[in-house]
Amino acid sequence: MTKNKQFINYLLNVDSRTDRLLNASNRFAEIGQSYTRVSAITGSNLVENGFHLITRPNTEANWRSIQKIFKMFLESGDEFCFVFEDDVIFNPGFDLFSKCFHENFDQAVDVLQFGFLTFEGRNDDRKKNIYKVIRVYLLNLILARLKFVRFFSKSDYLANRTIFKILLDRLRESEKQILMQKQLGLKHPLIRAFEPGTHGFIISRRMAQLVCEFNLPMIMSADLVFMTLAKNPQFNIYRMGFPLASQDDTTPSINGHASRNYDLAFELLGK
Amino acid sequence: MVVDFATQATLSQFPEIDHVQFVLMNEQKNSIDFDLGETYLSTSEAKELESHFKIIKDFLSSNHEHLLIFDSSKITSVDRLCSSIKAILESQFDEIDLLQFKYVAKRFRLEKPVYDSTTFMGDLGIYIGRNLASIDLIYRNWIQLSRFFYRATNKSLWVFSKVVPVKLIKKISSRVSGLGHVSISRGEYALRKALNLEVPLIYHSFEKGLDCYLVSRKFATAILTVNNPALVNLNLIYSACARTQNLVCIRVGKNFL
Repeated sequence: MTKNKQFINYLLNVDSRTDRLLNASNRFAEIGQSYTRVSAITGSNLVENGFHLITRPNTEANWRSIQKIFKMFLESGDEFCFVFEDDVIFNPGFDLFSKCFHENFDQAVDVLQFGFLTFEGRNDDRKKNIYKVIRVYLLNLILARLKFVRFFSKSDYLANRTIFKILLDRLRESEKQILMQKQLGLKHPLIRAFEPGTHGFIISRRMAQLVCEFNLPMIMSADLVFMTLAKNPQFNIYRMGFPLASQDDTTPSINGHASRNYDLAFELLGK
Repeated sequence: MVVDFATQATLSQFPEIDHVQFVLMNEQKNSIDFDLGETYLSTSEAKELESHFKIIKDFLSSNHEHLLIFDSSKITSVDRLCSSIKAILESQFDEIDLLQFKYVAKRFRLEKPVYDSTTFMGDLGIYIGRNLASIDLIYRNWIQLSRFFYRATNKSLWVFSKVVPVKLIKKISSRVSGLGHVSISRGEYALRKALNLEVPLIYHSFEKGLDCYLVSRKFATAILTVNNPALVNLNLIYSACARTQNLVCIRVGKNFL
C-alpha cells in the first residue's frame, strides 16, 4: 500500500435525475473535488432487456450499477476508488479525511465505508451505534496498553494456546485500528463492519475484482453483500464510527428492497 | 434426500416417505468433483461448501422438486419431521424455498430475524436489549408467548363484542387486528398446523446449522451462482438470502431434531 495514492470519485446518477446531479455537483465544488459521473442502470432497463429477476428491478439495477462502477475502476490503473450516490451530503470533516486518506493512509483495507444510515428516527439504533463506538474505543484503549503480551509469544507453550492466539490477533487488530484512526485524522474509532447505505464508500482493486461477478443472479442488495462479506475475517472491511457523508431528502430512486409479501402464511395458504 | 446410514435406517421406518430417494452423504463426500475455484474460506468451510454444492448440483440434474439435506450422524425424533415432509411432498407448499428444521442455538445472527412485527410492539429487544433478547431460550419463549397473546386477545375481544355489542369493543377489536400482529400470528399458526410442525415458524430467517434443511429447485439454482467466487461460507450465504425477504425462507422456532 503506497502513500499519495491515485483515486477517482465515481458518482452514480440516474439520467433522468438532473436535479440530484446539480446538487451533487455543487457539493463536490464546495470541497474542491472532481468526479466521474456514471449513468446508473434503472429497473426499467433490466425489464426491457428481459433479465430474470428475483428481487425488485430497481434493487437489482442498483447492484448492477455499482458493479458497472467497479468494472470502470478496474480498467483504470488506480488502487482505490470512492463511490458516491447522487444524494450524498458531505459532513464536516470529510475533506480532511479525504486529504489524509490520499496522503497518509497506507494500511491494507478492502472497503472503507464513510456514508451509512444513522436511523435518525430510530433511537434504539442510534444509541446502539454510540454504545458500539464507545465499546470499540475503550477496548482499543485497553489493548493498546497490553503490548507486553507480545513478549510471551516467544514461549512455545503459550504460542500454541488458542486463547493466546485470539488475544494476540485482537491486539494486532486494535493496533491497526488505532493506526488507521491516526492516519485518517479521525476522532472516533473505525469499526470492522458495514452498515446499510451505499452512498459513500471506498473500495480497493482487490475487492472490486472479487465482487464484480458476485451475487448474480442478484438475491442480496448491495449493502447486504458488503455486510455479509464483512463477517468473513479474510476481508478488511471497516466503517467509520460516525458517518462523514449522509443523504439529502430528495425523492429516492429506489424504494424498499423486499419484494416478498410480509405475511408468508397468507401467501402459502392463500387465505 | 441426502442422509447418512443411521438416518436412512430411521427414516425408512416411516411409510409416508418410503418413495423418497436416498443419497448417502458419505459417498458424496468421497467423490467431490465440484471445484469452487479460488476461495476465501477456511479449509473446513470450503469443504462444507463443496460437499453441499455438489449435492445441490446433482439434485438440479434430477427432476425432483425439493431437496432435503441431512448433515448429521444421528437424528432422533423424526416423526414430526416425517409428517412435515409428507405435507410438503403432497405439493401443498411448492413455494417454500428454504426450510430449516434444525439450527445451532447460539447467537449467530446478521440481525434479529423478522418475526411478523410490522410495528415494534412485539420486539422484545426494545424492553430488555437486543443481546439478551437474542438468546435462544428467551427468544423462542417470547415468540410463543407473544403469538399466544395476540391470538387470545383478538379471540376474546371478538367473543366479547358478540355478547356485548358495544361500539367501543368493536373499535378496539378492529384496532388490534389492524396492527397486523393478529392476522399474521393467526396465519402462522395455520401454516404451522398445515406443515404438521408444532413449533413456531420464524419467517425470513436462517440460523447457523446445516444439519437438516430443505431447498427448492429455484433456490438451489440461484445459490449455486450467487456465491461465485466463494467469498462467504454456506451458513452466512443462507442467512443473507433469508434476510433479503425475496425468497420464502422459514426456520423452526425450536429444534425438535
